[in-house]
Amino acid sequence: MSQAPTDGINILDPWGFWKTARDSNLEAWSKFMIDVVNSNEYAQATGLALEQALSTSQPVRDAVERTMTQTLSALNMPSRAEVTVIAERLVNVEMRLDDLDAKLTAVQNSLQQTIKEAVHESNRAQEKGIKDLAAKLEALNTSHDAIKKIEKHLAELGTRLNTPKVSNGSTVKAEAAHAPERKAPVKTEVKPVQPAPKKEQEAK
Amino acid sequence: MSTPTTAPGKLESDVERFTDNYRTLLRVTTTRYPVAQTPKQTVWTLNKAKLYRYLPTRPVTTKHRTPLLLVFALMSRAYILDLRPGASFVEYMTNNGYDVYLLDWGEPGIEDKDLKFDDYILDYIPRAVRKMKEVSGSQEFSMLGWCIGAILATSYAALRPNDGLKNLVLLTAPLDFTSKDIGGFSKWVADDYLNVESIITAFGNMPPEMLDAGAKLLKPVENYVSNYVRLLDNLDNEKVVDSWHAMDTWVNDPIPMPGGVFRQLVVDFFRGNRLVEGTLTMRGEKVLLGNVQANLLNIIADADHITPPCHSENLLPAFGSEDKEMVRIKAGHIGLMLSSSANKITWPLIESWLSKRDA
Repeated sequence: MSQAPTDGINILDPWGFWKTARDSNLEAWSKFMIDVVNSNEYAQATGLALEQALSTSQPVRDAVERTMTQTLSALNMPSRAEVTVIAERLVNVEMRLDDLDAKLTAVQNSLQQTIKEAVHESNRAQEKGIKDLAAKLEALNTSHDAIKKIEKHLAELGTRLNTPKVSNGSTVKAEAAHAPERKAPVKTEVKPVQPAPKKEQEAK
Repeated sequence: MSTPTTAPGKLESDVERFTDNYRTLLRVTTTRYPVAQTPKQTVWTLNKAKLYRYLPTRPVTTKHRTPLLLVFALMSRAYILDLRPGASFVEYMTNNGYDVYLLDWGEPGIEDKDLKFDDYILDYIPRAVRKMKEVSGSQEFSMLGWCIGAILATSYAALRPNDGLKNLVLLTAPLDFTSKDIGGFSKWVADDYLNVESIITAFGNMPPEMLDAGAKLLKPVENYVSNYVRLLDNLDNEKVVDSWHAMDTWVNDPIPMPGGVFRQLVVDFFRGNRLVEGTLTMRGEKVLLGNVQANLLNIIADADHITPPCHSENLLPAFGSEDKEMVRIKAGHIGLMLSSSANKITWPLIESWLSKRDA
């Protein structure tokens, strides 16, 4: 059992009908009022009303302020004007504090930067020193190896010098048979030259 | 067709629904939504201003090198950029690997009544930027300015082009006041109608109630009637109620605008159009759009009733940036960054634009 809406209005729904009518009225009313408040006449009227209200109330406000100032003065209390002056000075102090805070922050940042750079520089110098030392140690090691090689070489030379010569495939025994009698060779032992520890240390 | 036996059950459920709706209505109209939930740390403060650094809510795979500084308007709470989970630009960007900072101006007291744009642009922003650079470790950064925040960001970019600002994103920027007939504010603050000095003399700072009423009166029926009608119609829709509650919390939490800023905004910008004319000076320095060097993305909301498109749509050639782009999005002043389509259109647009310029 339903009733089809007639032109968008359901006659069996009085609430809906009322709402639609209300919204239409509000819309029309709104447009009218916007035109009113945007008119020069309205601006003039409100400006005049405000001006009159202010000029009428001015003597009252002045009297209240005067009385209040006297009362506060009698009670040894600061007036509004005095509190206002203090507040303004406080704002000035606050601004200076803010500037000081900013400057302190800048100094702090600058110091931190300087310290950071100094530490960085010092670390770099230390690293360089360590690298130099490492390079020197490396050079010493190389020298040490070279000395060892020389020693080995010398030892080999010494061994060769003290060993009977063998040539053209003939044996030492055959050569000895033809040779005039001679004293038996003094048996000498050629030890590899060991560098004196002290000298080595000095070399290092 | 319902049977008589179901009638009591239906009545019971109707009563229950009505009670629930009533409770919801009471809750959202009497409590504050827990806004600004993205985890953050305060990295800098000056007077009432604070600089927040946000942390991602889930593990981030991509990390962008250039931090992003968000600058919002002076007369509204900056947590609009981090309204609620799922509807937070800050959350979106942090989860996309951006190092996000938000400059929250705080609530000015009577002692701040003489603060001008000059002070915010030349004292506060450079100091916040200095801190952001220190915390992020990056000398380059991106800046996003929304509404009055766009005036601050643009002026800073023009006055300090060599301070490391690489990318500048402007949202609904009120910079060009050549047309005096478009936009309610332009008419209301006209020289003939509004006496700025009498307001500043009377109140010191521009009272938040007046600013709030001014913004709401631009669309009075929407803000004072339709807004609540929409809530009543959707009391059983948790998603709509949550969104409404969060937005209502922000809308009803305005802050005063320093008297000096209000005077400058009306006299130098709305009436004098000095930024576009090239005659705006801050502490003796000329604010010239031609000096802006940062890559520029200017996003305009087509249906913006607070900052109509004409407030920045013709300005692109005036900027000195080589890489500059203007995009128009079908949205309102706040809806541009907070409607259901914001995380499908506006946020990805900003993210991809910044991402391309991050390297």
